[in-house]
Amino acid sequence: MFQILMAGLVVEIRNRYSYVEKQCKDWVCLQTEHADIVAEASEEEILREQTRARFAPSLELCESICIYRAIARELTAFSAFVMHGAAVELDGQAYVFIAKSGVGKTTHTKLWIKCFPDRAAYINGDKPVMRWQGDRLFAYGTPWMGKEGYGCSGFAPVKAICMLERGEENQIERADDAVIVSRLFHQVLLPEEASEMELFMEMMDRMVREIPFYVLKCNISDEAAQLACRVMSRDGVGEYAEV
Amino acid sequence: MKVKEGFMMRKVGDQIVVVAMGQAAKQFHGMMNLNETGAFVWELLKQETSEENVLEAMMENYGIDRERAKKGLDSFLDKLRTVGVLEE
Repeated sequence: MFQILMAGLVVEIRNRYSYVEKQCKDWVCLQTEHADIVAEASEEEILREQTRARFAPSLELCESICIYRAIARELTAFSAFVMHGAAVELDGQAYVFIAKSGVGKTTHTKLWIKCFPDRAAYINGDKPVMRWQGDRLFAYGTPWMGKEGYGCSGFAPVKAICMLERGEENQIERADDAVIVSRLFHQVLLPEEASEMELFMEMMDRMVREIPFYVLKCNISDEAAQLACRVMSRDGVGEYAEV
Repeated sequence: MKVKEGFMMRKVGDQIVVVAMGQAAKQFHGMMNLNETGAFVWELLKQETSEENVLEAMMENYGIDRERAKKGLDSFLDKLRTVGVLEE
């Protein structure tokens, strides 16, 4: 058993295997009496996870996956949730990229790191925690960083959320709510409990209303990252498209 | 007829969505998008009612004739049946 500080929360992890503890080593904090969240995966859940996966992951990896899911389910009460996406920090602000798997979140965000070497860094390349703190939404790093392992224990306020698509040319525009809603719910884990759903939907609504969302059609070029960065880092929320 | 227990309808941005909670979430994953008429009918279907009652309410609320109301209602009910949220 050990405790980590993640997304500003003390999370106690009651593990069976050592893998998850190694994975969390940069997040481990001094033991406190009171943990905000206690996460544990039963043998049964771990085995079920192993059966479900297409490749046969080790039990210790399955435990880690189950534990992150258990944490995700507890986040609602803290105005937070896990989002499947890649969060990159640039000049102190977070840009979160979401897309269907295979579209190229990692490919595109790696271009940001390459194009803005002294300014951009991964917060989390796969499943950052998003948390409302006061009147701002923050993206937080977590020990669960996907197979690439891109990320850190930092965090930044979210400037924009970008929905990626592949395109011949690079083009970015503001997304309307219908497009946002049709895609957003594929990238979040809905709570099971009725009591939490109201809070959760409140967070989704607030995010859609307050955070600018964009659709970026892009190819794999430095120009794609430069265009996305130029448009999304602007202040003010005018309606515009740029090619 | 009525919609099953365990669903929540609410606005997200300018969109109206329905999500499943608790037991209902085991059969219905993700969310369903409703237009304004869909939301109006959904409200009516929260309590046991008949197709006739819903049609009359639609005709009165939107000032449309029976034929148009029925066409809209049929396609909406089909949608609800497809995802299995209607109790008949």
